[in-house]
Order: sequence, then structure tokens, then C-alpha cells
Amino acid sequence: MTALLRLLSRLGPLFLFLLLESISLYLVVTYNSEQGRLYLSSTNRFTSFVNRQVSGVTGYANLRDENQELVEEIIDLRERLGNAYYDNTASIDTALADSSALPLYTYIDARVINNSISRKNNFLTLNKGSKHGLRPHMGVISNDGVVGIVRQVSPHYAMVMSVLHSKTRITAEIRDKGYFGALVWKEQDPRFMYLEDVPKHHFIELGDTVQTSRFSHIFPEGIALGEIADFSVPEGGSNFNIRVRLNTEMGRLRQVLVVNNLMSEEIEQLEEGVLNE
Amino acid sequence: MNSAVLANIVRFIGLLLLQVLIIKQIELGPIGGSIIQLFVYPLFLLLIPLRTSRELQLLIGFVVGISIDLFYNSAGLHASACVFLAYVRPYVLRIVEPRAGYDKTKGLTPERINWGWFVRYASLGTLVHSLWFHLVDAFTFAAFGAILLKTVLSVAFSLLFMFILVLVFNPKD
Repeated sequence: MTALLRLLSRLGPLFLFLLLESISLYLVVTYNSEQGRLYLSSTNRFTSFVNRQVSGVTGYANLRDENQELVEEIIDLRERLGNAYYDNTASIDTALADSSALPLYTYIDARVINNSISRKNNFLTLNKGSKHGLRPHMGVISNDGVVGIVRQVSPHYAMVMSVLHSKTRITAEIRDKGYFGALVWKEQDPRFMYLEDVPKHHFIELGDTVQTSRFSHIFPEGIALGEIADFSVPEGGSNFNIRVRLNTEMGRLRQVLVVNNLMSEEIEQLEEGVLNE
Repeated sequence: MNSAVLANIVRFIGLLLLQVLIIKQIELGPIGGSIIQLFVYPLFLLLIPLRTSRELQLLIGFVVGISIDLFYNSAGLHASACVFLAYVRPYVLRIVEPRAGYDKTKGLTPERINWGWFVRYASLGTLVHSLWFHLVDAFTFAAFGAILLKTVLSVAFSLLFMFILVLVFNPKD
């Protein structure tokens, strides 16, 4: 150690500073850039142990809130059950009933063990990985909306690109109106995203619900993401500038669902085939 | 191992745990989340004894930063800011140097010097660290206004936490 320090002191603090700073910046560029590899440190044994403990404690501290959310979810699901509707039909055509419906989406539950919201590109770590059927490009949702897209998986963990990421583009539409656009995160505020590419001749209102689009094969159609908080037309622009208040509190995520599209491979192959023609 | 080294090791572990166990949860927001990044660990770098060689200070800065990075999934980002702070610390100290100068054998604490000096020193040090951090995070000079806003907010709230810590523990060295 003394020999090392003596060597370093001969080279001088400036040299050492440049060396250490280069190492740091190399790590930043390699692991943190949007295209670069992701840094899965939250999955190494020690930090994942600490993260799990923290997640355990905060999970306990949030039991009351979580319970409330579950109750609301149960109520919501019960309301969607057949027996919650007044049956107004005179006769049901059994030939068309359900037998033709194939399951398209399945869900895998996971827990958030690491999260960030205040950086320019944010990621989450989940406690489920390839062993549980997670694969890159799967969508991640919570009770209140969309959380992100799986980027990398290890056997027991997954790294999710949060919607709070400068490269996020989620196809979204305005409920009941069908106008669609791309949802992006521009401001550094974790409460808001922007819906882009909606032409200004459409009619939209404050409070309109923004939901996942039918054109996405990552997320099921119709998941409410947020509400229009305000909108304007930039001077000379042909599209609205729509600010969307997210339903999800990204910082408070605990339990999430990973969306598995059973037909994603088929769609991808089909689309690739057309593109390669 | 002398007591100063031991005290610094304890301080390092304490601040690391505080940062990754509690401050990180505050950042995620019981108050709803925000753009504010809170830092308490620079306090450790600010309090490193004056007689430590500059090379050792830089190495310590790197180790502190990498340790924080492990928990934040942010390879190199905190390390880069820490190394930068460790490098400019002597210049910061020179800028805020009291008329009587520094006593190399004594700690850089409000207890040994005074609170007015410490507030200036910690503010400047945290500002340097936080500005570098947000610049590297954005990795561009575009949107400099946003970077500056985040920096100012981070510094203000981080200092609040650091001053409370120093008030409570009142370290001598």
C-alpha cells in the first residue's frame, strides 16, 4: 500500500485524478448510456441482500396503503365479473360465446427491489428473472398504469427501463376518442409525461384519460396511464403539446405485474418478414 | 490503527448506510417523488483530515463513489463526482480559508473552526459535487437550465441534511 502510494505521489495528484475520472466516465459511458449495457449491480449478492431487506422493511411500512390498493383492485375485478352486470339479453348465442377467444396476455407478479426516479434515465430492478419466464421487451404494469419495459434479465432478476427514461416511447391513445400518439418523458418531473404526435385539429379536453393503445403488443389495450393535465399548440406546429399527469406514483412502486404477450413472437416474425421482403 | 482512521471508517460506513437505506427512500418520495437527488455522503469527503495526502484522498473518493454506485445501479456516476470533489477540495479549502489559516492536526469541523466557515465550505463543496454529478448524468450541456435547477435543489436539501447530521453528532475531527 505504501509502495503504491509512493508510486502514485511521484506521478502526481493530477495524473491520478485523470486516471480515476477516466475509469469512472468509462463506466458511465459503458453501462449508463441508453444503448449501452446495463449495470446489473443490484443483482449481485451483497447489494441484492441489502435491497431485499430494505424492500422488506418498506413493504411492511406500506402494508396499509398496499392493502387499500388490493381492496380497490378486488372491487374493480368483482365489478367486471359477469355476475356484476344486469343481464339484458334475451338469449345468448352459445356458438359465439367465448369458445373462440384465446388467451393473449398472461401476467407474472414481481416485486420492485431497486428503483430510481430522479435521474435522466431511470431503471428498476425486479426480483423475478428468466427462471420465472421473464424476457426482454416484456411490458411491466402496476395497478395504476404502465411502469416500463424489461431490458435485461438474469436468472433471478430483471432490469426494467422505467417510463421515466429519455428514450421511452409508448404508443398511447385518448380514451373514447381514439387519437393516438407517443408518450414520452421530457421534463425531469416524475409526475408528468408528454403525449406527442396528436394533430391539432382533433378535439381533446382537460381530464381526458390517456390509455395504452390497441397498436401496442407490449401492453394490453386500455390500461389507463393518466389524465391530460394541460395542452397547447406550439406556434407554427401542427401537433398538440399534451402534458399527461401519470396515475402511477413511480417512486412508490412495490408490487408490479410483468405482461407476457403469448403471441409476441408470431407478430414479430410476421412484421420482420414483411420488412425483409 | 489510530483513532482518526477508525473514526473515519465508522463515519464512512454510517453515511453509506444512511444514504442507501434511508436517503434513497426519501428520494423515491413518501412525499410523492421529485427531481431532487439528495446527497449526504459528500460530508464524509469534506471531513477527511487535512493531513491526508492528495493521492489517498482521490483513492478514497473513488472507493466511496463506487460503493454508492453499487446501490444506485449507476456505475461510475457517483464515483466520478466523488473523485472530482476529492480533487478540487484543496482549492475549495483555499477559497474559504479563514484568516488564521488551517491547523493541520485538527479536524475540518464547525467545532474546531466555526459554523460560518463550515457553512461556506460545505456549500461550495456540495455545489461542486452536485453540479458535476448532474452534468455527467445528463452527459450533455444541452438543457443546462434543467441541470442547474436540479443542482441548486439538490445542494439546498442535501446541505439541510448534512447540517442536521453535524449538529447532532458534532464531530471534532
